[in-house]
Amino acid sequence: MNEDKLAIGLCGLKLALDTAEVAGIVSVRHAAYMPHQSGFVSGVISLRGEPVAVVDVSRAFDCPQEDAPDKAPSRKVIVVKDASRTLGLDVGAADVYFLWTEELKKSVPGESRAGFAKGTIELDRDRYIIIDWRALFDEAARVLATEESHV
Amino acid sequence: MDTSKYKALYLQETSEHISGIEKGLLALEKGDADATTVDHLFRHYHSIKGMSASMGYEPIQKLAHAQEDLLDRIRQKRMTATPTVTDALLRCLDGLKALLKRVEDGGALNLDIAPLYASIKDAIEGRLDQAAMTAPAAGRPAAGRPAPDAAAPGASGAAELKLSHVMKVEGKVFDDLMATVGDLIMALSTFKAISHGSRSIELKEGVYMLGKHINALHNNILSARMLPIEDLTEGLPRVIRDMSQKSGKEVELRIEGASLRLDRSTLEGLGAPLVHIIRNCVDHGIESVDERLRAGKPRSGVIQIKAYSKRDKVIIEVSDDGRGINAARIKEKARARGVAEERLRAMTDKDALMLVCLPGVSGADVVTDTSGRGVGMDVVKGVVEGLGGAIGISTVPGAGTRIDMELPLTTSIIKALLVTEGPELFLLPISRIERVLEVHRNEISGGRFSYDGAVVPVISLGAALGMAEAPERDYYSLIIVHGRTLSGVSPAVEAETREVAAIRVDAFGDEIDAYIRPLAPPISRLWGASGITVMGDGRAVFLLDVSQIVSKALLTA
Repeated sequence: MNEDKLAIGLCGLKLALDTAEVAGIVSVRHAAYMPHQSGFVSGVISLRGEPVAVVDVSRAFDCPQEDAPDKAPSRKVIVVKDASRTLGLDVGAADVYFLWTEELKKSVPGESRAGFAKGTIELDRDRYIIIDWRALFDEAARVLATEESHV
Repeated sequence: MDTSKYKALYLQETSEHISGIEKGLLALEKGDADATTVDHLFRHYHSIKGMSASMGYEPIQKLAHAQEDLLDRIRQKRMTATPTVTDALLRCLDGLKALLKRVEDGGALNLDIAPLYASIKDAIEGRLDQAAMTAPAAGRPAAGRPAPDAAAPGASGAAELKLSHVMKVEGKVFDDLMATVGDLIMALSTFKAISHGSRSIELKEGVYMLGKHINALHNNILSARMLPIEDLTEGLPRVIRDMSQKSGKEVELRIEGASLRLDRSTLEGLGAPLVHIIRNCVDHGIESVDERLRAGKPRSGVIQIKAYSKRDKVIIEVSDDGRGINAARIKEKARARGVAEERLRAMTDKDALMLVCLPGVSGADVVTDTSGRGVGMDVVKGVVEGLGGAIGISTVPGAGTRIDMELPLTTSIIKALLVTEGPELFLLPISRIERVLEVHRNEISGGRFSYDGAVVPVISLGAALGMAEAPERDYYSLIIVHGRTLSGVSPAVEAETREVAAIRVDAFGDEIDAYIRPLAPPISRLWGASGITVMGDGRAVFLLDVSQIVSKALLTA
């Protein structure tokens, strides 16, 4: 729980990701439209020549849509990656900053398995939700496969 | 059989076995060898023997066989690996090396192996003595035959240390190389666009030279990625054997043209469709022995796979001499699935056969645990089309069925047309485009357009892909495409039955060579797209699946 984190301030929420899983942060004006994209899937971008499917984090965490990333002229997409999965997390114009291991030593871990959260950490009276991006990835795959019903 | 094309592979494999043998024999001589070492030694000899027999290198096969026999005795503890015995084995190893060097150089295998062979026999029979061992040498010529070059490298175990000129490379290396070339091609397309708008002769020449070298690199990598079709078909005899046993039918497999080479990715994609087609042949095509005999056919049914090239395509035909497909029954099943009566009536029997590629429509009367549920041929068609190919079916009732798969030699880099719809860019494969037209909106009436003497449906790309409705424009680009191609039919029938439609887009752009990547999770099952590319400027652009888009539009029209 104390590994370096990338923190995201989005629509009043504080979200966090392990920096070890962040492959890059891309600034985009437009993500390519995906046929029949729906739900929180918001398109495709490229990172170092590789296509990356993008999900809208504000929709995944039920933010009011006036704060939605697609309202922002330029959007930040955080690309997360493991051995077999790559996903872009569209966080719009949200503040993005780091929480280093040193300061995380005084944080208190908490449980939260709701939605796309895989836990929380309390730090200096702030509660950070750790994003379960693999669950977002699986849900995106499910939603996009369901689009086969368009046939 | 022409085995010359396998020589490099043979030499590479045997060289690995020779290294293993050398290591094992030295351990055996030092007394460090355990049972596993002896087992490995035995297998190395066994492999060399088998491979050499396949290649027709009899002296190598014979010598390896003798040593394998000796190792088998040591393995079974029927004799001991004394220093004299290991010395004999090492001398025979030198003999093997000398013979392999001859293979490599294309020389005759005329070394006299009789003394080496005799020494192994003596060792087995316990008659080996040092004097007998020192007389024969690997390089001694056979009586009456030309003398081999005694100084030939490799004739002695310690004569030379050298690397094989054949390398084993993981398939992924070629995939990565192809991806890099793909990126180069996409970058080249950006440079081409810049040079198009430039007056600089130097830039134009530079872009031309760059393109020439990238093409050469692309061709070299393509040729390295090519694999023979037999790599795919070698597992089929077992599949057929198991299915024949299960069904009680007698089936013979004949393969023709298996040495033809296809891109690795295409070949990989063909595995499941090929097995599915074969299963259909065994389950539903080939009759039982009794039925065949009653019909005056031979007891054993024949499934024939025939591969050949036609221009830049490879055709793989899979045929059986079974009962054929009943087109009328297919039509009935399609009717039950909701295919319009009018459409069915207009279909010839030949066209109706393609209905087996609709989900849930099967030509089979019997459902087995492997086929007959109408799930399969739609997937086969989808996979073949996903590889940029087309599928065709022909049948003669009572005489058999033939499935033709027409495939591009490679699927990674294709010619495609850029089109725009609203702010979005998409690619359409050139192979599916008949014509591109710019028309006024008034020329499109009731969702139809008059083209080439026929009325074709007009599909709004935006609507087909579920995009937000855009304000109407005065002019549109119409991309006339064919949704499917039937192979194995006459040009007249093809023209009559082709599924032509016009895809309406805002505008069209350049024709480009696009490096197409497969769709990976989470978008691997995305409807309407068959691949994706990343342009030189970093934009991700989908290659649209014309068949899916046209089929859906025609079904809902």
